[in-house]
Amino acid sequence: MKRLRILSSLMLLVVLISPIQASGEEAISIQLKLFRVMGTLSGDTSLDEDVWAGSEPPGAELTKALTIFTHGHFRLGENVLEMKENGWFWNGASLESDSSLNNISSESQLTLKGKPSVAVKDNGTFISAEKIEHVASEKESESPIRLICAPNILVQSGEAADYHIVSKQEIEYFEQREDGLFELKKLQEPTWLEIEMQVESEGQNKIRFSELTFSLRSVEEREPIPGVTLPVGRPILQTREYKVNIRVTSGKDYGFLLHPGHGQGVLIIRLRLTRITLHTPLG
Amino acid sequence: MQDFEDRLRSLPMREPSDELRGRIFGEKTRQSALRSIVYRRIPVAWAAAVSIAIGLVGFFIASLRDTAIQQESPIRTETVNVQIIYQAPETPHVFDFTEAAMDFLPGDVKVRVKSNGEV
Repeated sequence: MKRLRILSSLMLLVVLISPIQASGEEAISIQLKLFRVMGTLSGDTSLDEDVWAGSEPPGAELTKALTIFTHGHFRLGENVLEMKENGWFWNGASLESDSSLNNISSESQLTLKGKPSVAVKDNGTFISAEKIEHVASEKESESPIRLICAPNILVQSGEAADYHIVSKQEIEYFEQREDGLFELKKLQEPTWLEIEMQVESEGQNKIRFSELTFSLRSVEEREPIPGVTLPVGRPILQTREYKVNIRVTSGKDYGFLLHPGHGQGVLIIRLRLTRITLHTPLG
Repeated sequence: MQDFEDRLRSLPMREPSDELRGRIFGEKTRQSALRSIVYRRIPVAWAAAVSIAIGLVGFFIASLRDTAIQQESPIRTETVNVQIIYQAPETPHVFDFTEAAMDFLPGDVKVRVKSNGEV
């Protein structure tokens, strides 16, 4: 009888302690990588889970513009881009390592302590900064796939994150003068990709995007020049917005293939969200 | 012998006072009641059922407490802003998807030049 009482007391203690421990501060690590692919990308993608569970499945227009996948196999000329469960590979070499691409130079990590800030990796140490200024190296232009940025951030469950990736590159175009000659001009209009998201932990290992919006301001077309077939006229800037409500698994890689409405090339975004339990509050 | 015993019984003897008797027997009575509760035999099934019921109630209370704490905390409105400025004057424009922005992909370019000036 005594043993039974001790056992009962222990059981009661365990039952009482477990929910108290589970109520610890939970954060979500967001690892994002933005790749720009030049040229025509052909291949197949697949999604091994229902990310649309509990929300509206995407319409035909959105599906055409935005492809979400967990696995992919693409060909780009002689090159092969693969997205597998154990990582992303470019011609067999892992995209996680700097050596696979010559252009990883903006690896960054953000640690949130109440106020939004970005810590930029500089010679192995993290320094605090509001912005990441990325100057592409000469080697980057040689590759048909370029890593534009790779910020890693940490947010609390329920918080929002806003990525504003701005290009300060000038856009070149030709303008025909009155004397019939063509003059090279440069347009200094900002173009950007803005990714807004609000993430919340759900269930045992799921993360729900209560909001995930991609807003792309880009050049998809050129103004035609009379008598010239080359698309080298003044750039026409367009802003497109894609909204999705999805649910993903913690610690798993998801690819987002962003097709512009017209033109060539794509943007590939790799997102990995991981739930982390913190012992000390972030704020 | 019988007479002697009768005489001994008839002799007046000192007895404990009523107060002392009450204290002794009263305490004894209360202690016995407590002991009877503590050491009362309970069927194993009953003990297990009560333990599980208490455990479930505890879990329910703790869950309610957890929910209450979450509801009390203010709605998070903080936004983490990440601004990345991409500068690459020598590389194709990141957000220009027209053919004009396309460069030759890596590889060898073979050019044949004819001697009479035609290319």
